[in-house]
Amino acid sequence: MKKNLISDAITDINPAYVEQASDYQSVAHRARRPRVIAAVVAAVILTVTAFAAGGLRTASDAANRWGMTTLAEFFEDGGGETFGIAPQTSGGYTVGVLGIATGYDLSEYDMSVDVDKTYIVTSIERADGEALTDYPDIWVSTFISGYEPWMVNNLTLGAGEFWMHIEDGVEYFIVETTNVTAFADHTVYVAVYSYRGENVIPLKDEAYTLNDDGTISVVEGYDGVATLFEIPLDEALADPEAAEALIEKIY
Amino acid sequence: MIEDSEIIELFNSRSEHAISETREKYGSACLAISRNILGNSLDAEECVSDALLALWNRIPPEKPEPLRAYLFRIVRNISITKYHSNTAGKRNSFYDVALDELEDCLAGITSVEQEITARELSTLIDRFLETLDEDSRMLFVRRYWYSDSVKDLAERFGTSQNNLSVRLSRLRTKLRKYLQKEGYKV
Repeated sequence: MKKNLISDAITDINPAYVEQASDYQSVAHRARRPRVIAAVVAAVILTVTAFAAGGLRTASDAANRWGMTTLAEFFEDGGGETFGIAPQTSGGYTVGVLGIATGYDLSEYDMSVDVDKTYIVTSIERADGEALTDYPDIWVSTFISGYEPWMVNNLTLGAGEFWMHIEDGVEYFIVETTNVTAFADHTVYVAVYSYRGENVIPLKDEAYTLNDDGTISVVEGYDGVATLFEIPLDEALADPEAAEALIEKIY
Repeated sequence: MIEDSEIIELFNSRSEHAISETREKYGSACLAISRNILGNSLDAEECVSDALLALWNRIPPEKPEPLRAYLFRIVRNISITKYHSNTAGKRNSFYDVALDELEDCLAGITSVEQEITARELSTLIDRFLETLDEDSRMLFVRRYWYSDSVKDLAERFGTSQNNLSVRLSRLRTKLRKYLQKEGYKV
């Protein structure tokens, strides 16, 4: 289409919009929508609490639990749905991915949100149906196809906050990842796995392995929880230059 | 600050203060619009002066309401004309960059029967803007009507340039989808 035509069309849009935009400042928008993180600086582990029957089963409930209203609103509006991602059972636990929200998604609600963050909401419960009474040694991370999980993961990519709590015998784990969307043209995984001692980074080829074709898979026979989910990210968010820079920093 | 109705009255009474009062009230905003298109202050000053003269020639009988949007439109049109008459080919203004973005977004748009007209596209864009929340609508207008730079927009909307670029990209995608929904091939 000819530029002149587009330019003429734009010139003739509703003058009321031109008038309004003349001294428009987006202050009211930010005041109305609180930031996702609010005042939470470090991860807080709550004691186990008892709630009314039904408990939490949705990503928005988990987000609301921590006052993450923008995140909750995004999920309540139907964003970040993960119906296509089936729960997995491993090492005596059933793990589900309840919701995924990129900073780009959330910035539609609150422009001050950091677009480099991605939030993943998971649920962890005992496969035998017994209620969890304490936090198992299970961690949530992200892996990127083509890169060793023990080298490129949530921690080495910049980490972020995390929020965990148990409700009605089920643990809800919200993890904030950084810079994952730069790799949106790769396969991005969410890994939920058992860790040993204080080290939450998986050891090389212990629970996960990098295959020759660049895919990552669970090591058969791993003694513990090792689940792996491929998560859908908008490939348009990929930033190969930024991704390369991140990898250079890590390696 | 003088009211628009008072300015209109000065024009109607052919007072010599009409132009100076208008320049005082809206001069800097007009300059900003023109500079975004032309990329230089000297040409922008000239266009703003031409726009004020055009206003003098149109009022009366015109009774623009609101005066500001009416004047801004004159400034934009004069500036675009000057832009085209300046050296061709050089991509040297925010206007050109913004227009490139829209051209990429709207490349090849046609209705079922024929090529779309500027008036038709304008109406479609108006209807599209109505579907947006206020922030997004204002962002679109500031970028593509006022030709604001991404840097200035980021400041105005209180966000990072990266965030804002992605936001604009998504708006353009929404526009394409809207046009497709309205039966246009894009």
